[in-house]
Amino acid sequence: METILLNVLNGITFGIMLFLIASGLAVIYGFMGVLNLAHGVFYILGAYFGLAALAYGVPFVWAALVGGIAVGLVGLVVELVFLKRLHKQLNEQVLLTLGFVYIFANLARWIWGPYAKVIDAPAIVSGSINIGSASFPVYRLVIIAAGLALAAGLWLFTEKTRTGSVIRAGMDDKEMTTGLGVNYGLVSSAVFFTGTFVGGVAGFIGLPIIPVYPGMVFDILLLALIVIVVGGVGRIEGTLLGAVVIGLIDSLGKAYFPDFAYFTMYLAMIIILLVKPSGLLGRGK
Amino acid sequence: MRYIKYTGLFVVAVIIVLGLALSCAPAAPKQPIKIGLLFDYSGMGSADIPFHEDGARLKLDEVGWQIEGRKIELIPADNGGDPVKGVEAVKKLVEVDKVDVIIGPVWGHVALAIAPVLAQSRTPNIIPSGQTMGVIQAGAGNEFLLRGTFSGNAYYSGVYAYEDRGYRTAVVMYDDFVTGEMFATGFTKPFEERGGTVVQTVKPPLGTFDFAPYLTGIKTADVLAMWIQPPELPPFYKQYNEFGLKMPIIYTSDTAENELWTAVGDYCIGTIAQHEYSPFIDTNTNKQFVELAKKKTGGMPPVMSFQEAGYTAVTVFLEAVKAAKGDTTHDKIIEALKKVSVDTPEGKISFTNEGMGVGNELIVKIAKKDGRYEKEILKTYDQVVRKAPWE
Amino acid sequence: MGEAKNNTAKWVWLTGRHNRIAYIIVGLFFVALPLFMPPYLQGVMTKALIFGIFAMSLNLLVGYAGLFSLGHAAYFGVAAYTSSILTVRYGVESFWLAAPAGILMAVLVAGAFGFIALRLSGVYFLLVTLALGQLLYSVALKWQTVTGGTNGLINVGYPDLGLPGFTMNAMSFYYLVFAVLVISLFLLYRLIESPFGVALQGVRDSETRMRSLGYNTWLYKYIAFVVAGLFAGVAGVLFRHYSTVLVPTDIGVLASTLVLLMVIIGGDRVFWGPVAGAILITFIVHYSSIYTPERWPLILGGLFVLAVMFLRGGISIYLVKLWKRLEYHYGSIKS
Repeated sequence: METILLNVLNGITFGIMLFLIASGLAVIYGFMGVLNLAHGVFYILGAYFGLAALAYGVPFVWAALVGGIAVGLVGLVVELVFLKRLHKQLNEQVLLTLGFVYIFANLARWIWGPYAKVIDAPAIVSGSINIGSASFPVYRLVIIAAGLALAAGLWLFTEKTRTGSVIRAGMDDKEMTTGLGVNYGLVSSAVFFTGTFVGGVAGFIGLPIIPVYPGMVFDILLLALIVIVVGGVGRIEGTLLGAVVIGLIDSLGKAYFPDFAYFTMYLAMIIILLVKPSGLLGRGK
Repeated sequence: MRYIKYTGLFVVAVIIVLGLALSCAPAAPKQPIKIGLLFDYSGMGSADIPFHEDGARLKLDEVGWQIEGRKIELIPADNGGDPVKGVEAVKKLVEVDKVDVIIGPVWGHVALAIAPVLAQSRTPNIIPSGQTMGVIQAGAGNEFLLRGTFSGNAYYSGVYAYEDRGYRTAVVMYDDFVTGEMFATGFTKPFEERGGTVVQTVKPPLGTFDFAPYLTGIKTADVLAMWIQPPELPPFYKQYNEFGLKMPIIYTSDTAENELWTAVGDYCIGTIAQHEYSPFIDTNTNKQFVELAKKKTGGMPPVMSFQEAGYTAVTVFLEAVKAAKGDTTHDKIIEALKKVSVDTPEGKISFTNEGMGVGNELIVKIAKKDGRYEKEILKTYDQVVRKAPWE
Repeated sequence: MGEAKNNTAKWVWLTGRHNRIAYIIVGLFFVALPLFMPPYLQGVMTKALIFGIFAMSLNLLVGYAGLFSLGHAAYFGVAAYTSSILTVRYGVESFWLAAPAGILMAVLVAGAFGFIALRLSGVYFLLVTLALGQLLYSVALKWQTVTGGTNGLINVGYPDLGLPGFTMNAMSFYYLVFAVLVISLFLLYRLIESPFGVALQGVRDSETRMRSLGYNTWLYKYIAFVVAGLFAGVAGVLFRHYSTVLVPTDIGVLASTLVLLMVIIGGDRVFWGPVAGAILITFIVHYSSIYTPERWPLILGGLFVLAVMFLRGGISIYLVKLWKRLEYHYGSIKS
């Protein structure tokens, strides 16, 4: 019995991790329509910058913020210098962001080496609790809480605040929003910063569970894309739901159908999309 | 007028092409002996795989970069951990550089991919890491597996587990990858032959970093026999402990080094492993080698077992050159290699007629010495043919 | 003078007698090339041309149908694997049997996948093509008995054309590939110029308008998808002879990304743009992995960023402009 419970918990944890990974990308794509293919890079950079902060003795939570802000700044530079000029030019956006993936991934490798970096969770939340006769790491539960907190925060922000409504309006119709006198450029830069910030923080706090190495950038991107598409673009709840669903399917798949470990995620995504093309909670094409 | 201009353009183009072609034309005259090195200078393995080159250089420094009156050249090439790249690199080494021997690669699938290509030119290939029988079968008598086969290596971990440790039940875990399977078979067959039982097999996909789904369902046995690729070791050990698992671990073939074990931390202490080399082998040859290596790096050098592999591979090749009296045509070298018998840091090395390495196999334990994670030798199986009895 | 032949001014054609000379010169250049190269370099050039075919096939989707596919390597890989498996496991030696079988397989898979993928559009389409590609990648990985898994499928050998007394070598293989490339270019050109092609571009520009005019837009996209898969398959069966070993990565996202980049950097607005992109990228990757093995992704990425900032429309547009300038120079002198 408890194995099932453990597997479900694993699934949920993985799902929340996916949400953390994907939310940054979801925000950027939803508001700006820009598919930031370099998202995986920002994720690992957040982890690396955070690790550097840790090495200087900065406490865990602050290191996460440092990592996130550093990455956000990098993202801001990319957006201001490059992406702004490529409004609506899909080819160029793809080429550019992929170019950055190659560049940053290789730089990361140069500086930090190709091996995965792993850290222990901060002392107060490390260790395991007992579930029946098995152990479950406490930190994974912390991640679940953190993810839900982030989801709640983003939801409140977009649904309940004025800036949030502007963002939501932008997600639906850019021209109108500009027409209403909103400084589109400023807002889009802020959104890009936020998206990459979230991605970077996710990279760092995920370290005790998912070690980070330069070669993982495409995998992270792929996961984030799957979550967004399955969950539906335009709503945070959608991304969260999509993430948890995929996480559960993947973990349970690995535990009970190990031979199909490679396939489950993709099959699930294809089936969901065939049935509901705009994603589980999407707003329609 | 116009046509003159167009032909002018054409001539320019031809000149450019000629320039390109000439710059790639085969260079040096046949005199120097050329050793081709095929290792991972990019890709996942590049953090510690190319240390073979350092080891090779150590040996060449020792002999002054010449033998039998001929100079020696070392030509490194990158396979990037990818068979396609490996084949391209090998084609360059064989067709353009015209090397006399190729040392490397480490990856099993790269070795398999280049074997047919090398068979065509019969270039001798000394492989300083475990492989599969397929490499010998794809070759034309030119393949020399210095460290034998994966199953051949892991075989002794199975024997040791049952005979020396008294383990009777085991959980076997390995990356779902041909290498992993071979290591697992190497452990399982002797273990079961002697009466042991494998109660469960777990196969995470290659590249798994989150072992949670696999660890939650794991059964309890006397020992966990595992093989996962070195980069996955740190998260594996951490999670193993987090989930409260306590079975002793046998790493069916230790392809990791101190540099990687430091990322794992003290969790790895006590893990038993199988390998061909440890810096603590108690022979003069080895002690001298370790001193030599230490002098070059000013302290214990990184990734010793790969350095030693490079060193030994070159040693073996030079012995063959000596025996062939400096004649490095492929057939002569192949003949000489089959008859070679030389003392190396990892013990005496020779080859069987089919090209299988004959040497020692060690069972080691990971222990902490002077702040480094080292392989402490528990048992030595002397002068065995480094393949499994059923291969 | 033969300027923009189509109504959409963005798209650049070079027709007319002046420009035909350019094609002849370039053609002669490629024909003469292998005579000056060692077999090893001939091989690299052959690989570049094979990817040229592959990139052209993708451009049918990306450039002419406006469909961004991130899973195009699936058809390339399926054809390569099928042809290989037939030779290695079933002893089918003849090129004339193995190659069409491979291409047929690619067409079937494209037919099936197109059905699924075209129910969606935009980023969803991108994703599903990606997922389908990865699915096939996983199959290649797991089905070890047939595909060799991560070890890959090893088969050495140039195509056996069944011509008595003739065995292929690097140079003749190059010419075979070149011939196939020229034929493919010709066929694709006719397709683009045909009513089908024009309508397809109309669908790309405004699907709603085309639908209101009574066109079955889905059918056009689907046919484009399958034809693109077909030509990817052609490239695939040729690649298998170049490569001596096939690995699942040839089917996966990395391969699909690389070919997409070839299309974009070559330029999707000039007909032969993707071929230029393929040649450029193949050589850069090749040389940088020999001379700077640890840094080549950096170089490649840097190239892309520079291309985006300074080389809008891809290098082919740049080459066309260069040609035009030369023409203007000499044309004015002549008159």
